[in-house]
Formats: sequence, C-alpha cells, structure tokens
Amino acid sequence: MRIFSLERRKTIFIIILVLLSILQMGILWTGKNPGVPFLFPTQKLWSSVDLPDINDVKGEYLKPKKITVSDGSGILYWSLNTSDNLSRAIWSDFNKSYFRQILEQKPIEGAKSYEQDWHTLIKMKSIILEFENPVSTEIISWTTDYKSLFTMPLKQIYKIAIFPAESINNNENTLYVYDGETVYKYVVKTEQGNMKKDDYISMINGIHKNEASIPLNRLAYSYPSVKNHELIVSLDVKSERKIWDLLVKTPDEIILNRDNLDNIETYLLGDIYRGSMVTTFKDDSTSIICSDTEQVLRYYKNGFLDYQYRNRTLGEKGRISDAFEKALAFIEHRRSLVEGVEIILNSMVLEDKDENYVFTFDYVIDGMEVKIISQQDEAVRPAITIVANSDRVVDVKWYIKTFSNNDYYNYYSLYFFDIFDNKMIKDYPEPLHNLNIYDISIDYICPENSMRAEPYWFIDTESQIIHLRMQGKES
Amino acid sequence: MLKKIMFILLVSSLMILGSLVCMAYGDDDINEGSYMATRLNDFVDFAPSAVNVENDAPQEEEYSDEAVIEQYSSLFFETEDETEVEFITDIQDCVDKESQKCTFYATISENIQIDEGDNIVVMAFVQKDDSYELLASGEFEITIKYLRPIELNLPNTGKDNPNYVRIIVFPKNSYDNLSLDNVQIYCKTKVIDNKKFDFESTLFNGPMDIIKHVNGKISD
Repeated sequence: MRIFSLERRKTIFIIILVLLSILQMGILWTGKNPGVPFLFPTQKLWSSVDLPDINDVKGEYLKPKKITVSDGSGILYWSLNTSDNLSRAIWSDFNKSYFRQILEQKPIEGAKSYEQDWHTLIKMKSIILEFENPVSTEIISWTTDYKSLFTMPLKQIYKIAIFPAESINNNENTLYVYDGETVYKYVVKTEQGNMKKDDYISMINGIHKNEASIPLNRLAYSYPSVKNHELIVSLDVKSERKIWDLLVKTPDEIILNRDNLDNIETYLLGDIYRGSMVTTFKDDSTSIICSDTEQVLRYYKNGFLDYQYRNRTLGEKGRISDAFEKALAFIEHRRSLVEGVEIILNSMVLEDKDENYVFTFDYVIDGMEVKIISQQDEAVRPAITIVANSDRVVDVKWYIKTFSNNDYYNYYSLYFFDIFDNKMIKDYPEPLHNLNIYDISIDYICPENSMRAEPYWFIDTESQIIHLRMQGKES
Repeated sequence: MLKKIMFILLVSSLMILGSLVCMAYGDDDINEGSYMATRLNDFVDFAPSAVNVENDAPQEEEYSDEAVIEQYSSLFFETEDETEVEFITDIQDCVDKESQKCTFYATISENIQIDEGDNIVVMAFVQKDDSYELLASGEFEITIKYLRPIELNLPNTGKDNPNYVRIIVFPKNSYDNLSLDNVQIYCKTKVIDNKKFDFESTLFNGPMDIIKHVNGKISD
C-alpha cells in the first residue's frame, strides 16, 4: 500500500514537471516566434500595460500640417487652427469618405490648362490641406481601411485643394491632389455625415469675417523674387499670437533610479520579450541598458530611448504600410507615457541601403511641433525616429517626455519683417541679402536636457534651417 | 534782515530764470530732430505738408529729409524720366479695398553698389498741384533682401483723379552729393476706386439688378 502511494506520488510529480516543461517551452516558443499560434499566445496575458487596438488609433498619427483658405485673390490666405472645429470637420470628411473615394477611382483628365498647374490652382477660391511631407497612398489606404482595386497612378499625397464651387452638382466636391510633381483631379460625392458643399463655399466666402484666423500674404505676390510661390507670411504689423512656454519633464513612471527598475522595464520593454534580457544599471546612474543576443535598449536619464535590433538586415523590407504598422505598434506600447501632445507622422523615406523604412514623428501642441536639440551636435531632431521593415522595428530614437503649459506666456509678433530684428540673427553670418526663404514656421525647441520648450522661428533657406528664438512683446 | 531776505529772493529768482532758459534750449533740439526717422527701417508717416519746389538750400549740415528735399528738389521732381540707377527692384503695389491704402513692396537690387555699412533712404511723394507732398520716408539696411512694405494714404480717389506717385531712393551717406548717377527715381500712376456712394450709377444699376433678379426667378 505504502509502495503504491510512493509510486503514485512520483507519477503526479512527473506529470507536474512535464506540464511545467510544456509551459516553459510555450513561453520560449511564442517569444521567439511571435506569429506562431500556441496555447500561450503572447505575454499580454501578464503585461501590466493596457494596449489599445492599433486599428482604433492609427488614424490619429496622420494629420495635415496646415489647412488654409484662399479667397481667390492670389494674395491673401487664412490659416485655420488644426485643432478647431472647421479643421476637424474637413479632416473628418477626408478620413471617413474622401480618401476612400480617391482610392477607388481613377483621376479625371483636366481639360483646362490651370488644372495641371498647382501654383495657379492655389490662387483660386479653395481650401488647401498640406501634409508636412508627402504621404504614401499605401499608408493612407491602411489608415482608412480601404484597399484600392487597381494600380493607382497616384503614389503619394502631399497637398489637396478643395474646389467646392467647381462642380454644379450639389452633392459633388472637386479635389485637386498634388503629389509634389503632378496634379490629379477627382470629383467625389458628398456623402451622408459629410459637411455640405454649401458649408465649404460659405467657409471660403466668409473667411474674411473669421476673427480666429489671421490673414496671411503670399510673399511671392509682393516680392516676385521669392522662389517658393506658396510661402505665406503675415505682413500685418499688428499680428501677434499668445504662446505659452512648455514645461517638459521625463514621465514619472520611468524616472531613472534603482528602485524604479521594474517599472522602467515594464513600460519601456513593452512588447519586447524580456525572458533573456539582462539589465545593467550604469554606475554613474545616467542610463540603463537592457540587452540580449538580438537586441539592445538604452534608456537615459533625460528620457531618451535608444533601441536597436542587432541584425538590421534581417527581415524583408516588405510593404511600407506593414513597416508603418510595426512602428505604430512600438509607439503604442509606450504611448501612455507621453502626455500633453499629439504624435503626428512627419516623414517616411527609404533607408540609404534600401533595406528598411525610416519614419519620423513629431510632438504637436496647438499646431506647433516640438523639436529636440541634441546636446552633442546641437542638431535639431524629431521627437521619434523609427527604422522598421515589414517584419520588425530595427532602430528607434525617441525622446520620451510629458508636456504642459509652463508658468510663462508672452505675445509674439508674427509680422514677417520682425524676424529680421531678431537678436539671434547675428548668429548666422550669411548675409540676409542673399537669403532665399523656402519656408517659415513657428515651432517649439526643447534642449534634450532642459525642462523648458520655447517658441522659435524655423526659416528654411537654400542651404540650412535657421532657428531664431521668438522675442516676446512683454519682455 | 530785510536786505538778507531780498538777497535770497534775488538769487533764487536768478536761478529759476537760468533753469527756464536752459530748458527752452533743450526743446529746440527735440523739435529739430523730430522730423527725422529715428528708428532704422521704421517708416515715418508725415502729416500732409506740401514741399515747395522753389525753396532755398537747407541751412543744416546733419542729414534730414526736409533739408535733402529742399536741396535736391529740382533733381527729385523736375526729372521727367525714371533714372537707370537701381537700388530697389520688383516694385509691386497693392490697394486695400477697405482702407483704400496703397502698399508698395520692393526687393533690394542684387547689383546694388553702396559703401559697406551704408543704408538706403526711400522717400514716397504724391503730386499735388505744382508741388510734391511727402507721404512717407524711411531708412533701410541693405542686408535685408526684402524692403519693408511702404503704406501710403493716397489723397486722390476716382478714375478721373489719379495719384502720381514718385519714389526716390538714394544711399544715405551720399545725401550731400546726389545726382542722376546715384538717385533712383520711380514713377507710378495709381487710381484709387471711389468707394463712396455713387448716386448716378445707383440710379442705373439699381433697376437693372431688380430686373436680373426677377428674370432669374422666372427662369428657375
């Protein structure tokens, strides 16, 4: 009886060991082969970070940089605040309806000569949407959940001009889509839930009365030597804007100290399998390194995250939308750390060696981007740079910060010529007389180790981008 | 005692008189300088005051618009054609329909040849009877490629009443030695539409508008 009991206990013990080994094997298998279906699909089961579905949030990463209204004079333009209701309504029409219609139809051949000339089109009565850089139609197709049934001549979208008054049909809107070289004409239906065509027309006709937006002058009209015919600036001496300084902090959840290592690992490693990861806390307490044979993640005290997959060439370049999905997944696993700003796609390019895609993202607050100045080389960098292919993310540079209004604001002149009174202009020895201005914008700059972001003029010239700190009127 | 008080009163009154005289001299300085553009690149709008073309040469040696205009009135206003010298180029103008102000824009010429550190002076005049009225004047650094806009309140309105605008440009350091070789003269005729109530056109257009409106309704 006693022997039977002992044998029985041994059997139960062996069964438990076998079950444990299967469990261990399952964990290892799913960790190394994320796509393989198994009893223990992912580590999400015990992850403490709540993850939203990528499909629910992917549209939030794509937004136009500018929405402007042209009154048809070719001189004056009104820039809408991208966070106000009008802008949201226009962008919603594109997301819900117009992008899908652009993808499902072939462009119309424009019979009139101006229909192929973007610079002529923008001088006419229209509403113009502009991305920071051209966006691949494949990415737009993925974010709008619509796949084109045929090969499209339109490969990327840079700017779109809406001509509501062009078609005589009340339920049609005319769109001119510019990819940076060619203009494509589309006639789209105004579907249920969209803004009515009359709303677009009255927006253009009533823009003079809109006190929320400042009229801007097309600089090339007044100064024909300006090479960028689309550059709009304020030539009103009185134009000004109230801008807050920003308080920039490293998120509390990932403040670097030995007591907080578990939290840091939980938040920063995210979906990265950490079974074989070794974490090293640097002696000078300025950074930690989590690494294994395949990847290394460095996190610095100033909130800078540097992730590298050791074998960058491993994996197929694949489709840009798949790589973009991987990039968004990486951000979303850590998105909860960033507060007070939107994260918007800035650019997408192929890597030099043509192996991976490089995506850059900006922090955006009140329509202004927040750029980071690196302490090492004083270069201005985007908030997030992700190199990815269709299989995985291979490189990430990310300044993880939280943002809120600081204790200080000022009124800043937007008058174009006030730029030249700037005290910092002497930092640029190139004579302004030969300066060719391609673009001007107002954005924040935050030094990577600073807790304050301040507004700057960003002046894009032929040879460099000049950054001039804006001078408040009450200083 | 009375003598002492009288003496103190006399000394005090002399001191007060002396102070008043000094203050009066200070005011004279301010008056002379107030006609000049005090801040670089700021355009100064002048109250309409017709410049007499026949005036004598100025008495002061320091630069002032008034003195330069008086000294070179024949050069500035009696020259019929525009000069070949080009300090500013691409001169554009735009009339604001609401305010009826005319704004001039210009770019500093790429071939400009003036001494290092020198600035250019731009004066804008409008013809009024036999004289020219100075509407605006300013001094500009040539390091800035684009000239600040020059906003003019042109006095004449209506098609029958054009404004003859004359813009004079010269290097500031050469103000005592101006000639056709170092002065740019630019002339422009500007017509400002009369936005005021036009009784005659209303009489004609009013009934026509009503007829058009009724026709439109019938065709609908």
